[in-house]
Amino acid sequence: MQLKVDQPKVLKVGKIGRLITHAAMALTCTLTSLPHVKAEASSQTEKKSGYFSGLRNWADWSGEIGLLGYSETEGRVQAIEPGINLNALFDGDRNWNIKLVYDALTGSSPNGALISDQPQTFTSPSGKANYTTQPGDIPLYDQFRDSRVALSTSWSQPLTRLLKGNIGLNASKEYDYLSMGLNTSLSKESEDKNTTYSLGLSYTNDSINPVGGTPIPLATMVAAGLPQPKEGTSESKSTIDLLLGVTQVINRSWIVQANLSLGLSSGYMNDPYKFVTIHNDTLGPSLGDPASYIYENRPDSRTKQSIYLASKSYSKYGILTLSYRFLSDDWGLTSHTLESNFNFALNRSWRLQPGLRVYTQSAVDFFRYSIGSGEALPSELTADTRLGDMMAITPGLKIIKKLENEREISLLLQYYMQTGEKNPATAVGSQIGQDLFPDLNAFIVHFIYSF
Amino acid sequence: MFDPSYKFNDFKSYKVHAFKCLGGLCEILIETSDITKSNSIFKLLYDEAKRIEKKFSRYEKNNIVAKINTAAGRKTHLDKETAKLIHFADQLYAVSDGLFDITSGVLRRVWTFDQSSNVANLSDVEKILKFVGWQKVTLEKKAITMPAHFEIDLGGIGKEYAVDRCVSLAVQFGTTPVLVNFGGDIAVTGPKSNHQPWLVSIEDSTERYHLFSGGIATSGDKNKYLIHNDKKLSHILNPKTGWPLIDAPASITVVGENCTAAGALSTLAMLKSPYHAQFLKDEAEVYFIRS
Repeated sequence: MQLKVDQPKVLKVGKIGRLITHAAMALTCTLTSLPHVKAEASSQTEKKSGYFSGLRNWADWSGEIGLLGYSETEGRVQAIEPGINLNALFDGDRNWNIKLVYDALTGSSPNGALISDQPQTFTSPSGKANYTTQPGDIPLYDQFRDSRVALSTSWSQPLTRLLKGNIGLNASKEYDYLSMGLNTSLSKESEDKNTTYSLGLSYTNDSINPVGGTPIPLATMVAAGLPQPKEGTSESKSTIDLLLGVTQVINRSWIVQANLSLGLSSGYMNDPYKFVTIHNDTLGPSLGDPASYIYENRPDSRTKQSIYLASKSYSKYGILTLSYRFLSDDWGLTSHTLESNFNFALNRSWRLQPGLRVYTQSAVDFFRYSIGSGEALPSELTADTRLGDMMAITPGLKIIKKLENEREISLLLQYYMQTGEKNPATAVGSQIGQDLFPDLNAFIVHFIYSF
Repeated sequence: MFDPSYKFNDFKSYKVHAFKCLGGLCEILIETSDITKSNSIFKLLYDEAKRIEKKFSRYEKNNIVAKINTAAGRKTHLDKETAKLIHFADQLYAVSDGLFDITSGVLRRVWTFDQSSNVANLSDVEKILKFVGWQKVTLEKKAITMPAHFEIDLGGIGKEYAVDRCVSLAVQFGTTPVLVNFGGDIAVTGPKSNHQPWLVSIEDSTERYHLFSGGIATSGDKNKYLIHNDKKLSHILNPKTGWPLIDAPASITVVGENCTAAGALSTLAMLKSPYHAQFLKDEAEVYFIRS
C-alpha cells in the first residue's frame, strides 16, 4: 500500500457527485478542438497522443515503463529488469492493473562456503562438473545465469459507498522456480473519509525444481561424476500472508499509516545451492581449514510478524516520507528498516528526492559461519549470509522531470552497502584474519517513465 | 481591444486582468513577470469569455439560445458545443429528480428578489408554470424541440463552463499558472509555479481554501431574497412549485474537479435544501455552507 498525499486523483464522493464530475470534465475536455481556438493555441500546444489515446474513451489509462539495472561490485550479480505497469480506470473508481516484469541475471553468487587461505573445489549443482575458488576469494558459483518473468494483475472496485474490494493474481517463473499466488483485500473508509482500514489476505504456492535435484539436507558434498546426494527433483512451499492496516489523514498535508502483518510459510525453504563449510577443529597447523562441505537445512515452517509505520507530510519545502518496519520471525531473525526521503522542487518541472534506507538484521538461530568437524551436527544449519547478522545502508537520489499532461520521467540512483561481522569470535585457526563476511556493494539505477 | 470595464494590475510576478462579462466581474490572474506573455494569455481567455457570453446569453438577439427560445414548437438543430451543454443540463435534471431545470428561468418574470416582502401573485405563478418542465422537451443528439413559449436559460452552467474553457485554453497555451475567477466561480490550471496551492478566501467566512487544482463555485446570493411570513425566501426557485426555497442556506461553495462540476454540485445542493448538508456530505469532497 502506497501513501500518496500530493494530489488525490479520485474524488471520494458518491454516485451523483461522480456522475456530475465526469459529465462536467467531459464537457470541457472534449471541446478543446473548437476551430477558432485551435488556430490560436496550437503553436504552444503539446497534445497527449500515442497508442493509448484511442482507448481513452472507455477507460482512463495510466502506467509506467521502467528499466532497472542492478550491478554488484567485483563482478558478482548483474541484473537488468525491464517492466511495464498499466492501470485502466473505469468510471473513475474501478481499476484494473496489469504488471509484467522481466529479469535477466548474470554473474556469480556465493555458494555459502567460507573464504579460506586454501584453494577450494566444489561440485556444481548438476553434479557433473567442479569449480575451484582461489585462496582468499569468496566461493562463488560463477555459472549463475537466470531469467525471471513475473506477471500480476488485479481488479479493484467499490463494493459500497465506503467499502472497496481488490482481488489479484500473480505468477512468476524462473528456470528452476514457479510461484503462483492470489490475493484479496478490503478497505473501508470512515464516514468522514479521513480513516481507511484495510484487511488483506494472500496465498502463494511456490514449486522448486533445483538443477541436479534437491540435495539431501546436511549431506556431505560429493565430488563431480560420482553419485550425488540428491533425494528428489521437486519441492514446494506455501505461504499465507495477512495484513491489517490503518491509514489516517491528520490534515490536508499529513497522512500516517500503520500496518500489522503476519506471514505463515510451510514447506521447502532451503536454498538447494548453498553449502556450509565443515572446518577442521583439531588443534594443529590445519585448524580452521575447510575439511568438507555439507548442504544446508532450514526449518520447514516459518512465521513472520511485522509492524510498519509510515508518515507522509507536505510542507512548502517539499514532501517528507518516513517509514519504519520491524520484523521478527520464529527463526530468530529480527530486522529494523528505517527509510526516509524528501521530495522537493528545483523549479517548475524538475524535482529532486534524496533518500536514505538503513537496514539491520540479527541472524537466525541456526546461522553459523562454519561448523567444526568434531561438533555434533545441529538439525538445522545455514551459512547463507543473507540470514546472518548484517547491516545495509542505501543512500539514493531520484531525479524527476515533470512533462506535460501529468507524464513524468525519473531516474533513481542508489548505492547499496552491506556489511557484516568480518572477524567473528567463533573464527578459529586459519579462519582468523580472513574476511569471513565480505562487504557487498551494489549500484542500482532505475529509470521510470510514467504516463 | 476597447473595453471600458477593463482594468489591469501588475504585481510584478502576478498580472491581474479584470473586466465585466457573464453578468459580473471577471478576473484573470496570471503568474508571470513577462507582460507580453501575460497579455497574450489574457487576450485568448478574454475572447473566449466574450465568445461564450455572446453565444449563450439569454439577452442576445441572434444567438443559439434565442433561436431555440423562439422556435415555437419547431425543432432546432444544435452545434456540437451547444448540444454538449444542453445534454449536460439534461443529466443534471435526471440526477436532481427534476430540481435542476433549464426551462425554469421564465419564472423570474414573476419573481423579483429585492429584499422586500413582495411575493409573486399565486395565479401568475400558476400561469407561468405551464411553460416550465424539461420533461416536455424533446432532446435528441444534435437537436432540441420545445413546446411554444418555453425558454431555456443556460445561465446556471454557462459561467462555470466559461471558467473551465478559459482554464483549458490556458493549459494549452503553456505551463504558466493561471487562476480564472468569474464572479466568484474559480478554476486554476494547477498549483502555482512554486508548487504551492492558490489561497482562495470563501466569501463571508473566515475560511480559506488551498486550491491545488480543479475549481470552486458558489451557489446563492446573500443579497437576493424576499421576506414572507418571517421566512427568508431564497432567490433559487423550485421548478416544480414555481416557488422559492424557504430558509435555504445563504450560499453553498463546493470544490470540484473543475468549476462546472463544483457549480453543478453547489446548485444541486442548494436545490436539495433543507437536505443540502447530507447531499454535500455524500456527493462532494470539500464544501462550505453559509446560512
